[in-house]
Amino acid sequence: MRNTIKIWLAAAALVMVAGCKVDSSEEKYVNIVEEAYYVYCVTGDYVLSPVLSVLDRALKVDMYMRADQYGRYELEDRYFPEYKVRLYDDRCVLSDGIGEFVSDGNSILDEGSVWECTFNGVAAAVTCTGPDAWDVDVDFQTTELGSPYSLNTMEMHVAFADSCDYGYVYEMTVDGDYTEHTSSREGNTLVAVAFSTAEPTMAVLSHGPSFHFFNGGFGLHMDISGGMERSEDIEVRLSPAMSGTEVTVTYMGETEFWRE
Amino acid sequence: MKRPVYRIFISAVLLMLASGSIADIFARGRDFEFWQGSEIRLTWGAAPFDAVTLNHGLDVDYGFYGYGTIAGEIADSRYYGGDGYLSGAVGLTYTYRFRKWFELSGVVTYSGYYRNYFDKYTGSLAFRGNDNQISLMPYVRFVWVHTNLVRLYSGIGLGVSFLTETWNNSTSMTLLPAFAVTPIGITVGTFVYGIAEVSLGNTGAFSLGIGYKF
Repeated sequence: MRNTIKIWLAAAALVMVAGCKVDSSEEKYVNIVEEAYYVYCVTGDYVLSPVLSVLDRALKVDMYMRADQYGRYELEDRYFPEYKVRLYDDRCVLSDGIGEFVSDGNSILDEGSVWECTFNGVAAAVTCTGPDAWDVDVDFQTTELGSPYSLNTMEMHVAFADSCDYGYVYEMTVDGDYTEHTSSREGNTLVAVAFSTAEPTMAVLSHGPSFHFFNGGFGLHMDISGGMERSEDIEVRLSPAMSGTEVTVTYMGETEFWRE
Repeated sequence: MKRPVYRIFISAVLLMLASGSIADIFARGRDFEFWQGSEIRLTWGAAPFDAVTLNHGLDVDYGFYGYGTIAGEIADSRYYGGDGYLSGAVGLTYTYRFRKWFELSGVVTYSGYYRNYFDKYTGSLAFRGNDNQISLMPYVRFVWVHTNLVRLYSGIGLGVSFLTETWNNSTSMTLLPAFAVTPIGITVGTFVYGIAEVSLGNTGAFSLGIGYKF
């Protein structure tokens, strides 16, 4: 009888041990720097790109305004295929009010000219400060980046660097800060991000409304309040890779790489 | 969708009743020693059909921040899970043998899932996540073959279960139905015996255990 007990208990123990563990530890997938890279992506896609797009569109509108009728057809197909372009003297409107560009009567390439522009919720004055160089001054009162982001301050200076098949290549220096305001069951969370270029950084329109940033870098500082208090510096370095850009992010003493 | 499940359940009950009648016929025709009395069983069942086992793969919900926000990204990745374990269905059964072919039981089963969660910044234990489900059910067993050494049987039980789920210091409790349908089970041994069962329900898909007849 003892043997019977031993055999059954041994069989039961074997099945229990073999069948109990159903989830493996996720420790090897933990990457602290990933959240810093995410902050950089949000900053690039939801803050810097919309503002830079204003200048990019203004330059194309300027080209459109100065072109003859046939040139305009070509420019419409090339730069504004999704919009209807309407020209009223010194004012150019893109369909459904998505963009409005009001010139001061001069080309945006003329030094000292100031254009009042609105595109995709961003309102800004674009001032030509020199040959192929502009300041973009955002009107923070009327600018809407889209929930949950709001731009508080920004100084952006952009110089024309090159043109390629993808469009214009810009060299940008920028400084500013924005906030992200979200709600959850635990309460309201406010993320404040200050950003600045560590060195002049290149940008080219890549996909949709977003720019691809390369050859340069950013310094970011993130402050979170409301349940997840954090105050951290983020360093982003953008260097050329065999193909694309290598994004090196340093955060909380750790460094990781991403390829874009 | 509900109708086929309903039919399957009715069919299973009828099958069990039929098997009870067959068991009675078989039992009358054999020569074996039978006495009315009690039994205690301790079993462990793999893959019970219960909420704990079905839910163990769910992700932890730290709160809804909306897709694609910095706060959401940081909150969602704040903790990581360690190894996760299911206990299987641990069952304790009291049985009374009324007739050679008919036994009535009260079954208590426990099924649990445990996983520790760690803070990714410090690596220290942040909280424990666990689900616990306790089921109580009356269970009838029809013995097909009854010898001094071996019994073959089928059975069915229906009852209630209490599920508690604890994630990140918040606990919820749910009342659920419990059931067990055993097409075939076997015990080997006279007073102390081993048990093996194939079932669908809270007792596990495949159960092993040990019992004592007194």
